[in-house]
Amino acid sequence: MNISTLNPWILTLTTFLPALGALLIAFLPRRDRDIRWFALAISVITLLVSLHLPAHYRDVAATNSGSFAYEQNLHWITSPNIHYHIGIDGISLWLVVLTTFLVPFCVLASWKSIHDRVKEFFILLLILETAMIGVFIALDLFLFYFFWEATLIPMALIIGIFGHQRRVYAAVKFFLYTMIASVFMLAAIIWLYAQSGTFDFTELQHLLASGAIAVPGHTALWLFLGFFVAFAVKVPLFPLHTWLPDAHVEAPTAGSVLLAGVLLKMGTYGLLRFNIGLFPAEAHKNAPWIMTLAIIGIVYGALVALVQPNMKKLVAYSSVSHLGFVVLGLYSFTRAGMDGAVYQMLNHGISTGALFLLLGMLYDRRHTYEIKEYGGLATPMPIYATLFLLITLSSIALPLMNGFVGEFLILSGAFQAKAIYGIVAATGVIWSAFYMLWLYQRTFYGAITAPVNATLPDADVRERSILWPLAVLALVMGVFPTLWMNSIDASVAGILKDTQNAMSSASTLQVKVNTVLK
Amino acid sequence: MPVEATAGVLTAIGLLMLVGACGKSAQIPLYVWLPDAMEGPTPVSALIHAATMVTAGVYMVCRSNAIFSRAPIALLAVTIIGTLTSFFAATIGITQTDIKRVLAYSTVSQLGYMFMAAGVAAYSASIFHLMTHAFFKALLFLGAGSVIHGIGGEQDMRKMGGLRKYMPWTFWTMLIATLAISGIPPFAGFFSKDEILWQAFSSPHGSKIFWFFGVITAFMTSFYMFRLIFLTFTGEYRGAKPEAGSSHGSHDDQGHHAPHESPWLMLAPLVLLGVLSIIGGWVGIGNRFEHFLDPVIQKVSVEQSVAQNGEAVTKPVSDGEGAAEESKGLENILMGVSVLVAFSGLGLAWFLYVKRPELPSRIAEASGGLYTLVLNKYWIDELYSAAIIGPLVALSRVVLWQTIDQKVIDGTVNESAVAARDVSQIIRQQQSGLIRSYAGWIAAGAAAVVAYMVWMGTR
Repeated sequence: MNISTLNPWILTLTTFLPALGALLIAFLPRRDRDIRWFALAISVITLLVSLHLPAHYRDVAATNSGSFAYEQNLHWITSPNIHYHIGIDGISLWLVVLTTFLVPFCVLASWKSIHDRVKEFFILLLILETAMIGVFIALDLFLFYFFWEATLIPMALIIGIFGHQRRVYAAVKFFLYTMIASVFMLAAIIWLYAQSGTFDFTELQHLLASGAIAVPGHTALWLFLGFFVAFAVKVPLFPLHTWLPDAHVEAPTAGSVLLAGVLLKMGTYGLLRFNIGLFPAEAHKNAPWIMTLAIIGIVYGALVALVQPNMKKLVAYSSVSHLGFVVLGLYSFTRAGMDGAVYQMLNHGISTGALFLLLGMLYDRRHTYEIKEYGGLATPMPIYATLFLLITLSSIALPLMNGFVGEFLILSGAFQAKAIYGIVAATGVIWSAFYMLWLYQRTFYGAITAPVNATLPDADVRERSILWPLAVLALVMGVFPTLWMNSIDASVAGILKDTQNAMSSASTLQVKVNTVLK
Repeated sequence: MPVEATAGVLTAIGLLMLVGACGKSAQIPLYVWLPDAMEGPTPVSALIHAATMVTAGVYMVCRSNAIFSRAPIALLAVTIIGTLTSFFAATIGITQTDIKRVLAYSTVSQLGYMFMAAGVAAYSASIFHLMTHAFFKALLFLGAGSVIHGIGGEQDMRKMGGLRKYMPWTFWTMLIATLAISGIPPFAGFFSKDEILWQAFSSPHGSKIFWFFGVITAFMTSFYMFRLIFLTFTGEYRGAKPEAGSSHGSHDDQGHHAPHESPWLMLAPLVLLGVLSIIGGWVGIGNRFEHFLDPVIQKVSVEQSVAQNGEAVTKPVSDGEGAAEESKGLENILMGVSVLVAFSGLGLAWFLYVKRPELPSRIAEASGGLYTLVLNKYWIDELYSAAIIGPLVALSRVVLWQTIDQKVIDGTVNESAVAARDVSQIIRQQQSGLIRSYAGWIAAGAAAVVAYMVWMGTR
């Protein structure tokens, strides 16, 4: 069988394999060990299937006329006119793979830490995987909204059932906060459908660009903001970030990993795909204050992270800072900045995902995230300390590590957009080194203050098999970014070109974009 | 692609690169990390913190000479920072008692020399000193490591002394390095240091003030280096006496044994570096080193750089044949001065630490506050901690986190949730479940509809 006959169905297969696995688990007897192995098998198979996407992306994209590959467009509901339209470009390609890559580690991380309601946990985890992948592949706005909200339920349940002390508060806050924001997006989607009779992303993009849909006066701005609020909360952009520390601290390890690794990327992905993709002129017009918020987030998130007594909260606030970089890069409207932003989404998924996995392992041993409970851990846990350091270096964007590539591109893009943005954002490089190295120093160096820490076991085989791949990947992504960047750059260039065309029809800003594109 | 950069941009680039170079090469105000980094293993100090990595900042400035030569303000900043650093680090070096810390501050001071040279656009002199310094400073660190190893891990020079007879190889090689760093001919440091001092004096970017500070620093360098030599190798051994009947061979590094020479594996590098510390400077004779670097150093005349910056010409640059003759004579005089100064430092150290060893503590007592100030490294670490780190952490904790984040932002979020609940509580009263209440509302509603219709009808 020619493998290319698989192409139209490969995305669907990747997306729904985990859901199918969840369904099967529901019928399995409650033998926790079997369920764990089964969930692991499903997530690994999903990963392997999803690797077909990057392996053949170049060929498929070459034969494709549009900007999306592996497209599939089926009728779903006739009235209203909803399609099952899916497809990926060089950006969503890697976000899908990031998702399928992280889930097996989440299964492994939950191996021992989840011991009650194991069956329910893995069902929720796999359903969540399907929903997350769906968000990145949906090209129909209704379908997108469906997947978008579908991620909320399993995640809220994972936090609320399997979390720590204040889990219900955190779960409700997470659910309400992000859902209220999403309603604005829904309103915008419905407005667009009412005007055009379609939910299809590519059609809408075309209609909006050509002016076929009449968007009177301020409506364009309101539509833009409708999408923007939903995504900004998810990112989270300052000052809409306060649900994040609570959700992270209370969530079990797997929940934190997917929250930071994938769910936040849904926000930045949306800002790129829909805000910039559908409303390029509005996006460009509003870029200054968005970039300003992003920069505030970079500095503010880092400084607040610095003083956290709880290490999980520290990493949570560091995400506010890191995601500020991503938004800054996206709205710089430069090729370097946007390339870097997409790359930084992947980097953050790897490094912060790995940090949460590391913290989870510490929590399994001591059942606390308080920094003052630790100190001198490098002596009893040398391997763990080494891996923690590698991931720390990745997180603070040291050269040779993945974060450096992303942050450097973002900063150079921001600088091109406006020097002051680049200058202020560059201080974030210092802050991140400050809080991460200080955390490392207080946790791993010095004398062991609490006697119980002296006998902590080092990372075992299962834990090392989680951490080494992530650490190695962080290094490879820092040394060979082109493996990822080629497809990202092609898609970013396409988006920038669309933006430029939209501008030239709006004409006044054309000169500016031309200079930016140089 | 032609680069178009205004003088302002070039100056900004130069100054920003200077900040980076200050951090890497441990210059004021960013030098405090280097002495602390001496906690690392001594061979690492020799390689990273003396010979190679810390010189990267100097290298960058020299490598970017095309920028700096066109940005006179940045260049002046390089000189001033280099001069001040070399001077202040030398004063601290005089008071330190930890053998590695003396060498650390000496490194900071010598790096300051290199900055001073780069700042007066004598890039080749700067790189020349970078090279010779690598030889003798690596030797000094490895020698210090050999000493520390030989007396069981002690780093305090007050507990050394008389080690010459126990470890002659270490002594002689370190003496060579000390002669080299002090600028005594014909050792390596003499050539490079002399070149720097001459350039500081005579370069169009130079000044007599820079030269003066350079000479004072050279004096201090010679003094504290020979202080190190005399405290460590001459007189009587002041360390712990070997314990009688101590178990042999178990804890070689930490046990109290008689001081002993290091194995040949450790001495071989000392000897090699010792040879280089003697002959390493000879490549500079007849300006050979300078010409070697000609291809990488852009000649930017002062007029050109000034014209680009639109400033008045401040220094005459006409250098006729007669002037060249004259300058040759002046160069020789200055060379004599710097050699004299080096020997004076040696002499003073000998007087204070060999001839009258009781004097230093009396001087320290007499100078009181000043001595304490210098001994505590001008309290720069404490100053940074109190002025920058403390306030930053406090601001982040109290203002950003506890006030803005928790009270203002998250408070608003939670308050709006509470408000929504309260409003719902009020509206919930409608759903009381009481038939009478519902009947009342129905009646009121009906009355309202009737009233409305009547009102509409009467219009």
